[in-house]
Amino acid sequence: MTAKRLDPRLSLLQNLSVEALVDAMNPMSYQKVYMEGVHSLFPEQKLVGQAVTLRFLPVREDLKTETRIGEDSPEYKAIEACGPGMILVADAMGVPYASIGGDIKFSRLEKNGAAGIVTDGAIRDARVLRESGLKLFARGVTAKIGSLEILPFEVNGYIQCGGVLVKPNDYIVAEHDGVVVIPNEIIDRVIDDAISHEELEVVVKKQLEIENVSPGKYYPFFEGANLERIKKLKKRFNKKSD
Amino acid sequence: MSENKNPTDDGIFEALRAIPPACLLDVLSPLGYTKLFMKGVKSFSKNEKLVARAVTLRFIPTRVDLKEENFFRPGIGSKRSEAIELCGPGDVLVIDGMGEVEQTVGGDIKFLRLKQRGAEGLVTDAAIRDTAELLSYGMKIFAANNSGSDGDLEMLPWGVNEVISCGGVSVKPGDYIVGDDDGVVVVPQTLVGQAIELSMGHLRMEDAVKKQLEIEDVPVGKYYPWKDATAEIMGD
Repeated sequence: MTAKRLDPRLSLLQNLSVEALVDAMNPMSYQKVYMEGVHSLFPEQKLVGQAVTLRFLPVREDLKTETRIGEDSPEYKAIEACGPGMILVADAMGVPYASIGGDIKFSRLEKNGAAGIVTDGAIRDARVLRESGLKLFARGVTAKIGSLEILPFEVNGYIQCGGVLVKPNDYIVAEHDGVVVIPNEIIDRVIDDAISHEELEVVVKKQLEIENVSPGKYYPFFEGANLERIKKLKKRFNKKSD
Repeated sequence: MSENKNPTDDGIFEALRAIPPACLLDVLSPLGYTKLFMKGVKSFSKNEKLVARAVTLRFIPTRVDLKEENFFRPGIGSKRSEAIELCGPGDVLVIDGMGEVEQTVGGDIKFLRLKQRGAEGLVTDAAIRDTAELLSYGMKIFAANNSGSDGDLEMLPWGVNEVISCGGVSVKPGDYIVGDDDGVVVVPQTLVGQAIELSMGHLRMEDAVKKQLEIEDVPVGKYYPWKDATAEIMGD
């Protein structure tokens, strides 16, 4: 199992919003990191972890024969690679009602201690899976039989999901506002910047309430002179609270 | 010369040129292969027929780190260049553009090399650019769209000769690709012999039915789809 049980980044990410992470990556030129059309199936759930990827392809009889090889099938290999702190991220080519799996297949994920599932396809038996504690983010739910449309093909390659690149071990944060992918190579920088952005946002909100003015006075918050002004305000607030 | 080319190709190509894509679909469907026609992929080479074997290329969404992995490889260039170098006479480059119809997979400069390699053409479920210039190269071009957009801003070439999806069809390297004004069909390499044989019979049946309907002036249902009466007019 590849999971890092005590990865401190996961608890830091638990406290960050999807928006803060998107904002932090924008100045680093990582602009395609938010999945389009992938939603939380249960709005109260927040999912944080690292990606194990699974790529689906359109169904074809010969591919079926080649890939349906019991426990060594790509989908089961992917599920076994999902230990604690890991998320199954499935590229279903954005096919809206194609099921990537249901309660029987994915109960194994829960047993392995995996955190949840993200897909741009659909999930069956979502309510049963929610009761098992898995966190689910998908294009939607479905009762259709997935294997009539798509088949799992490749584990831990580079995939697209919701129009975003996902590499194995990239970090994922998902909540009611959607799903963001944080490239593994820049995770620490992104966490640092997101935390400081969130702190500065608190300062801006406070100041806007005090002054009762348009946000335009400080917007865009994190550029040029505005950023300097906000940093000064932060110092002043910090002093007051000492 | 393409690595895919095998000694029996010439006979296969010749046979496939005489079979419409629609007929290939009709004979492969009863074998359980029901997803072989590319959705949304149109011919830009009207009245031309494409018959070739697939070299595949898979695009994935752009990301700064991927750009570095993809483009800055001395002497090779991008994964797109790598795929083009695998193409030769008898080959078609089939590009999985994730169905992004507003995004382009390349234009006249990138695909000039495809022409130089002697490839038959290009098939993609995304868009092409520099359309007029690209078409002047004389290759057979099938795409979901044409557009002026710079596709690399949204997606980058990545997987070379992998199993891909194009227009909702799985394509393996070496599969036969047959396209005309009706669109594009994928014939799995292992089935090509069977597909040709079945198609010959199917076309003979269609001819017989059409002729008989002109003679008899009766509803199509008398002979089509296949029934005993059809066998009789075919003299089987």
